[in-house]
Amino acid sequence: MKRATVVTLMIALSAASTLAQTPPPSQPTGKTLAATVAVFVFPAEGQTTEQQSKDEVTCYNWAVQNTGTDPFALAQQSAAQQAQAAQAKEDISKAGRGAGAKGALGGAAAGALIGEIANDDAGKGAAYGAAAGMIAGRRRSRKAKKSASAQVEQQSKAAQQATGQQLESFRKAFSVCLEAKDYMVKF
Amino acid sequence: MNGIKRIALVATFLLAPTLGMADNLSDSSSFLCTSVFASRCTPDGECEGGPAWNYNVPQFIEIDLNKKSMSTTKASGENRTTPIKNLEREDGLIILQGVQLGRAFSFVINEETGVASIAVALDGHGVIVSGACTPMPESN
Repeated sequence: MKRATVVTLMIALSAASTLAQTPPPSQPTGKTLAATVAVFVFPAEGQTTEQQSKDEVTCYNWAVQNTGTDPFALAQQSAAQQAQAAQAKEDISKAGRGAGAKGALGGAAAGALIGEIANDDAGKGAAYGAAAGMIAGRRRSRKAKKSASAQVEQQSKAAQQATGQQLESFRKAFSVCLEAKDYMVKF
Repeated sequence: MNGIKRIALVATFLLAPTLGMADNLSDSSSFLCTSVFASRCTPDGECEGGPAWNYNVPQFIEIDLNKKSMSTTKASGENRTTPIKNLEREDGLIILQGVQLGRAFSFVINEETGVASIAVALDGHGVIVSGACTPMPESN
């Protein structure tokens, strides 16, 4: 279940996301509502397809009500979070650009021999100082970027994990409802 | 800790060839020193190291004990100089100390080997430089 199932579910949910405006939708493509949330349902008592569709809609609404989770809304929310994380990573990457040059200016120096050692604030100076500042600036920038990227990655993973848990909870409720209506259910 | 070990290892490799360059300074009052490797440490114990010029330490420094000053070479075009406030020669060591623009520095140079250890203390961090010195040609 785990990550592969969640990914499969997210893909299925994304494909069905256009249906999210009016809960819960009918299945124009022939795919059952249960299938869109990766739940497999067999009509053990010989229920008709039409009856199964009606029962799935009823159970979907019941599960939403009882878990507070709507998989379609969750899919949209997850997509938005992923886009946000991707944007944050892009911003971090852009923010790092030019830091080396800024550091180079900071490392430039002239005048005092000892007085300019490790001077990160000098405004002008020799090529050695500029080269030194460039290297130091890049190093600081790399460190900060690495830390920020790790933080975004961590937040993104935590959000994905929370989404997975919510979906798991929804499918349990959905399945219990269908089983009560004499269907065999697996997810 | 690994970082410090790595810095020490790199410093050893970089410094090794210059030790051959160093010379007996016992009878000299002016000499040319080369700075090789520097490391900068902050109070939180984090150190970074690299070529001395990474920290704006001149690659060559001329030291004139009679004038009590040190300066960059003409060839460098940098025109940087620093007065030496305190000078002592004892137990085979040349010890130079001074202050400039908020930096306190100490040079300890072994007269026999020419090996130089330089420490520069700044507000909030310090820089340690390894180097080697040899008598200036005109002082021979």
